[in-house]
Amino acid sequence: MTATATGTPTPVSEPTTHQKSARPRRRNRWIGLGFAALPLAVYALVVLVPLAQSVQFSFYQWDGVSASTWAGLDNYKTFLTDPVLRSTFGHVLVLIGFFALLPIALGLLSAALLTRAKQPGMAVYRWIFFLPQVMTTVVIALVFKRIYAPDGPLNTALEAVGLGSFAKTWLGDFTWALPALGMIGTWVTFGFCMVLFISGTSAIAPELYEAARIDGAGPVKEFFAVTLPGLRGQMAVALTLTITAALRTFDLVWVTTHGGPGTSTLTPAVALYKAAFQNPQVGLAAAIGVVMAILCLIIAIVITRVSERD
Amino acid sequence: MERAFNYVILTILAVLVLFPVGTFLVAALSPDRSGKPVGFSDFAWDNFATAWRDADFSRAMTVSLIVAVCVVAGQVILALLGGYAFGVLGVAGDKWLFPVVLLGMMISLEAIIVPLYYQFRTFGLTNSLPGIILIHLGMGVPFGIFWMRAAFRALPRSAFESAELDGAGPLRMLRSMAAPMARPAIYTLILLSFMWTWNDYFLSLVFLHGDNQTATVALGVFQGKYVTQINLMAAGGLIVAAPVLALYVVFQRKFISGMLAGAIKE
Amino acid sequence: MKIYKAGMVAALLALGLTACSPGSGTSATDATKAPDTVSTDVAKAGNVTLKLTDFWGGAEGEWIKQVVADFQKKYPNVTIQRTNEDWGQLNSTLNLQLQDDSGPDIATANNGWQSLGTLAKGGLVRNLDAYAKAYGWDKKVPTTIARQNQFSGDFKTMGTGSWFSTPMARTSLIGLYYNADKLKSLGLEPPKTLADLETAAAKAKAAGEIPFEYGSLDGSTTILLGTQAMLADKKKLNDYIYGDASIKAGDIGMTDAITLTKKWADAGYFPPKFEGIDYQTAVANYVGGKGVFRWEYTGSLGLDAAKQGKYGYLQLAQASGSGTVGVGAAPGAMVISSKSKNPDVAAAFLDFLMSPETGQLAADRGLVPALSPDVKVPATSLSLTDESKGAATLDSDDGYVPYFDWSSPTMLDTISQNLQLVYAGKMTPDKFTAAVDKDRDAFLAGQS
Repeated sequence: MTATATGTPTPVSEPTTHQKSARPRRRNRWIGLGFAALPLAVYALVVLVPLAQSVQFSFYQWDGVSASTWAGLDNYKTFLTDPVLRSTFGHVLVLIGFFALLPIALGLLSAALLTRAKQPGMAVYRWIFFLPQVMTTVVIALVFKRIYAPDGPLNTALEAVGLGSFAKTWLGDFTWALPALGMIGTWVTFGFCMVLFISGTSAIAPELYEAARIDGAGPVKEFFAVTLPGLRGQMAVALTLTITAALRTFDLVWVTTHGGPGTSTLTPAVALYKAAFQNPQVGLAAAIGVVMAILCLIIAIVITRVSERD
Repeated sequence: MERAFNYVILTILAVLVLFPVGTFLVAALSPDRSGKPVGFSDFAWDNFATAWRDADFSRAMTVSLIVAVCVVAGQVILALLGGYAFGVLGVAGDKWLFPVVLLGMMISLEAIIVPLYYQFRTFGLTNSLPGIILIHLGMGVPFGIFWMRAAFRALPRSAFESAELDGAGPLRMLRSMAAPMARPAIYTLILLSFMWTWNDYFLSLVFLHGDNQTATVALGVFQGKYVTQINLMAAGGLIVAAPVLALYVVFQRKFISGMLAGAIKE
Repeated sequence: MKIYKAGMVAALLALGLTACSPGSGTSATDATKAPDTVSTDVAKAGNVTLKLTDFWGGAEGEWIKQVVADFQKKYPNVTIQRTNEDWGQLNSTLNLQLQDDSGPDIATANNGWQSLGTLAKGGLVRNLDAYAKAYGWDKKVPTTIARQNQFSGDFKTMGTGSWFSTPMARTSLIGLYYNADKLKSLGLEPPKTLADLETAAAKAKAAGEIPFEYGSLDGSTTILLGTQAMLADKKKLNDYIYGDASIKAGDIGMTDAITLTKKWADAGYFPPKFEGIDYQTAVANYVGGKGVFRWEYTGSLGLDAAKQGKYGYLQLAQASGSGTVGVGAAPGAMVISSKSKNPDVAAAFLDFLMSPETGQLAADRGLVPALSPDVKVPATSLSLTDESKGAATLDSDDGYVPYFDWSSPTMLDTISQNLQLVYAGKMTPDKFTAAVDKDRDAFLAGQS
């Protein structure tokens, strides 16, 4: 637990065997602080100080311009009791399924397929799968708005294969808007998970695979016996990053639905943005931000604990 | 048999990924401002030229490039220093310092942007490129430290010990041994950092105005209060994505394959 | 476990901060009070450079460029540096920009409490009363438009008190567009009243046309507000929006308007699957020839010269039969920053924006002129002729009502979201009206 807080994203899993033998010496720890001083100072200036101020703002009623009034915990109460604001948590849970679980499953699948055999053309697939990651979210959102349109490519495709009865208004539908948004998240995120898993897989000692093969394991069994356990660190990273990404979803919703229809796709980040930049309620916005940060921390803690057990 | 099966599944996934990209391309070539698809003969190739001119991309891309290059360079240095400190040397007080660093990866920018703006205003660093570069650097420190720390920890300890016996100081060890050995991780950091900085929208939106607007924000000219020109927006989006795509093509080998090499070295 | 500590550290940092509350540093300056002496003599001001930031693109952008050029020609000692930002960006960051020393001298703000009200209250924009007196704005501008720029001294009421922004010789209305060719082929005259419109819509539907081109994906409310203006009492509607708590949304035709809109939706008067059609697509469809009518802001269809001859515009008479009432405002509220060092010159520019010359410049670019009855409109442009006629009617009837969403900062969200619920059958018209009242009353309660 003291070694890593959220696992490791690097090619190689933590070489725990080396670690015990070489604990950093005392003198080094002060030199280390000297090395870290510059990055830490920049970080404190840009993130920590404003964060602390944000915590302070959250206890005030403030329009962002004129004088503020002390509000105690009112902003937090509003966030946690207002039915519309509270519903955003439910939406986030749905989005987590699409932003985290589905991409990780697909990422594992594609990583397994891509790394198992040295077949020609694998680099091309890798490149394609990562493509969504490099595109600007605003543009992605506009593209998908077009795809989900009533006369858009998705409905056209459904009708073409005789599934016309499944054609929907997607983003305008109270039931389907949220999953439709979620699918965009899956599309964007899975390439990132795949890259993490590919780098993780390549770090697994080849002997383990050889041993498994000697034992007569097929590709599926090999995956569950060797690959999956070897990817625990990457899994923790992927989960942490994708779940917090789901919790922070903003541009995607903002460009496509603005939280509608009704409030069926409202997320905490959209509510925060509206409060901070559209309606002069900076205090409420800060409170939403603080609650989100705390939730992210809790999620990170839980994931770390689970991934480092046994 | 297994090979064919692999290809089938991968191709299905690839089609699913490429389908929206295709729609995007078609929208970029549509003469219609809502981006409705048209036949090949009606493709409006001059959308790219129009988009380039309307969004003033020659200026906006220069700004984006300056910001991104400075951020990437600074980011790598900060990440090397921080990652080396936390991963190899150890840092006095890291029991509570490191979690504080990690906290930064989980905070959404929206939550701190208002106080951040006021703070930078007192420094006189709003609407200035050094200002936004500094912010990007600060926001990137947590991931940078997190990433390079893990990369350095993965290096064989024995190498450090022998170098230390040779009397190498920490700075020289970082420069001549640790950094070169962690090269694959550095390449990845360069790519990610460039991508995140380049694609940033919100920070530039709030902090930069007028001639300092970046390419992503410049895309906004196609989105008026009432009228959005989706075709030009898509064309502009492609122009904006081009440098990152190019970088990804160039780095692809180092980015993923390079990681493999780095991993197997041990 | 270490991560717990991060939270604690953050909390400690917060507690350790200075005890001063946010916003206390920016005390309301003298700017909220009107200065005593102002000068209208621009030529004497010496060499002056002003920074202008606006959210106008397209034809509007061309217009402001020409206005700036003409002003500089008139006063060669003045240079105006114009910055264009998109609507969303400027709205969300204007309060921050105005606090910057290097911020703009003149900017376009959004009327209502979301933006202008907050800026005025925070002392970020100047009180313009002295200029209003010097330039005679009270006489130039119809009261219903002038009110849109005014706030009371305690900033609790909008629509009365001092000037904090100015309109311009242009306007943006909500009204009914019609496709002239379609109407002709259906054998119909342009409707004059709501009853005419309903008859025409029914005929269009029977003939297999889409009566109203519309999409509700992003919660477009023009159709609701356009209908409401025909059904509501002008004075009451104004008073409601300007914060008279004794008037309820039911008194100003809200329930009737939403019921009518829902009736049209249920009768199939909107395109199929309109819930999934976004604003941009609906506009493009309409301009592309789908649908007979469309409720729309003037100037947002983006009609080219050829199309301007094909689409007409109507400001329908009140259902009660007395005069015409329409939703309308200047397409932006011009403000002068409190930090501006040359407010006199800036005010002269604002005055110039209300002059007949700039109105003519607008008409020449297909934009709807206002405040200038003698403007010449190209005869080939049916839409612009109609639009100008609509604006002239409202000018002479003093029949403007502000956009409904100015009544509270959150009102636009409230009506957009609940409109979608009504269409989906998840909310009744009565509940809709109640939700509108609840939103506004909560805001008023917070104000006092």
